[in-house]
Amino acid sequence: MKLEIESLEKRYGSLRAVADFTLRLEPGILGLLGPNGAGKSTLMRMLATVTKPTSGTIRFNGTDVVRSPDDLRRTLGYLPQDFGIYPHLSATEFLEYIGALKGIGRRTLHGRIAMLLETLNLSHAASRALGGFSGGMRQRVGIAQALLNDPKLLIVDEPTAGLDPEERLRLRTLLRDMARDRIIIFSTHICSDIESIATRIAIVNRGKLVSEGVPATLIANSDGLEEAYLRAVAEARQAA
Amino acid sequence: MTRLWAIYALARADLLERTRRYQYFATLAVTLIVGALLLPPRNAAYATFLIDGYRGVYNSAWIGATFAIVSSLMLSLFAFYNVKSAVERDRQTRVGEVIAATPVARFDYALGKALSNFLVLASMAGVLVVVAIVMQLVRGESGSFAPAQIVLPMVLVVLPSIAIVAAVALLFETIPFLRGGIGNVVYFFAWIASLYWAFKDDVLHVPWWRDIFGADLVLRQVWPALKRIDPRAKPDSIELGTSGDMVHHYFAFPGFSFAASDVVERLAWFAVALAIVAVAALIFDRFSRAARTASARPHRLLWERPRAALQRVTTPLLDALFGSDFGAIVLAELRLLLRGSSLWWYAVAAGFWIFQLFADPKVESIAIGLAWIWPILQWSQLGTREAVNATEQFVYPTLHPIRRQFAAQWLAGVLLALATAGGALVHFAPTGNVLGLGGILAGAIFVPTLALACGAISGTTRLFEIVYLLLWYVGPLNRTSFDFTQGAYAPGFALASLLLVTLAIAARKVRLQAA
Repeated sequence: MKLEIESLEKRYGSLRAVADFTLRLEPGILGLLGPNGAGKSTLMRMLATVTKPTSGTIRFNGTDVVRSPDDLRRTLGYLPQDFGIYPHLSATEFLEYIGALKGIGRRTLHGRIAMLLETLNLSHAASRALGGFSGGMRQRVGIAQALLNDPKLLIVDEPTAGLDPEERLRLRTLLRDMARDRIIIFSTHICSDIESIATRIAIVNRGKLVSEGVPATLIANSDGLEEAYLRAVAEARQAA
Repeated sequence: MTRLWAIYALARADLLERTRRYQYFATLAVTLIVGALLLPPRNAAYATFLIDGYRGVYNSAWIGATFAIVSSLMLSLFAFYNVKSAVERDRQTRVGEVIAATPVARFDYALGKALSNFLVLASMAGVLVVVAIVMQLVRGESGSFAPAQIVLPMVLVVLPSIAIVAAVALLFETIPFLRGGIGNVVYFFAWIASLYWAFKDDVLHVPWWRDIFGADLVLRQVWPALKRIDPRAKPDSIELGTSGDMVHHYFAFPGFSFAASDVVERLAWFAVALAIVAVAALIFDRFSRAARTASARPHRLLWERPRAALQRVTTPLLDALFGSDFGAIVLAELRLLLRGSSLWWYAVAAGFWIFQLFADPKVESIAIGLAWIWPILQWSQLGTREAVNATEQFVYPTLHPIRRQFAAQWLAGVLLALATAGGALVHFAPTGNVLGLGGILAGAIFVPTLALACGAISGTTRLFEIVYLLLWYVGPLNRTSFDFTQGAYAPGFALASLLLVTLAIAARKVRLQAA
């Protein structure tokens, strides 16, 4: 299983949100780090087939994702940064809805929903309206919908937003367990979220990939990931 | 099978989300009340459906005919605004981005949403059927009780019409420039045009593809019974919703007997609806434009430069009248109101301004009316901006949010009304036309107050857009007593403004407490 991103670019008028982005991924967790407005979400939206790149290619197991997005969509899990819900649906109803759109059969879906609600500690609130959920609970529903189809490629944009420390730990453990046989792209600007679980880290600034490698290499000459990240961003700014 | 399951899930989730909102129950309650009003008693001051002064005795068949025609017309207008939010909801809640990453086909998504639209509208039609049955018993004009004679025309006439409305609402949501307020205005005029098209001539012989509302189908059934009683009656003399003593005669309509061809003709509209859904699916952007809709270039107001001068003059005056800093808030609200208005918007407004200046007194009302339909999308922001832009949490905790910010918003709307009717003001002032000036002043207060009340109550721009369009159509355009630009009716509109402002404040207070 591999995801190949080649010379990817996304322009909005004269603004280059993502520029000349090339990366090859295999099973494991890629931690995508970058300051606000670095182009992480735009990159994620392109990888999730929500928006098309201006130029460049994305290949998943050899298939051109831009030309044939449905092949990837069947096996994709995506949690956008600003994840929304239908406030008057219950968690179960909402997950049934998203599951049906993902093409999961009714019987499989019901079992999968029950399992995910249990895993994400939401079983007690399964039939409550989502409008009454706290931010953390909503985020967990978002994570559940991303995992519904047991995705081979999981893209999560700021998944820890709104989660308390216990929930963050639970999510990190879940993602680490899942990463053995799938590709997970975990976007964040909080270094501690990915420091312990990422198999590789990519640092993005102003739409460009400024640094990429295994965590040990990246932090070799620094006092932790945060310092390595800040230095990489500062160097990129200087070079620009 | 998976595709059907996806379409079903889409329609179901959307339907559940809509029907669990209190607005849905409010809509059903309004439908129920309107339904009951469709069958006025014999001594009522209005009638809903007459043919050349004839009204049918309230048996099931006549009630079926009345409800079918009036419901088809009413639902095709008002219900459009009620259901035109299926895709927008996914955009606003950002569920759309998750949907975009699933393999669901564009057509399946469009069909699911159109189905949900249709079912919401069908539930309103269902309420009307129940009301029709109950009202026959309440009025008690006829012992002939045959529910099928009510249900059948409702199914054949109303359901195909609302299928078209459901599909067109979806189509409007997929076309970027018809998605918002412009689309609401365009639909209103398209509906008026379709009325003319459907009723323009050859009554009883209107081809199926022009009989979108199914009215001719009903008339073809009713007409033979009336002709037997009065061979001189005119089939094209139809009155829908008239006031005064218009009922001259009563007759018994024995009932509907639809031919297979009638059924096929009406079913054909479902195929048309499906074709519209297919077009909508082709246009649908699959939420790819959701993230960046605003222009990267900061928008500058046309009057940005003279703003400082204007501020120097108006702020002290407004402050003296309403308290410290109020002038600055009013100007800020005025800027927000006009933000996004393009150069051509100002150019057309200027054109209307000049038209008022030189208009013949006979058409002055229409000139002001035209000038006051132009800022409809600006006024529709009043009272809604905080809910629409999710700024309630910032705006509501400010100092005296009603006395200052809410009042400033209203005043900005009034200033806009006065500015756009400036040509008429200049026209009337030198001649000492007090009545004309009074009309403009009352109208300039009434319209933004109506906008503020509608916005504060509903939290959306749509309620004002539809209410105002209707009022504008029957008022200034047709010069009835609803003409809010006429000085003769100014006292009535001043009183209405007072009631509306009370309502607006009450609604805003509720929102303040809920925030």
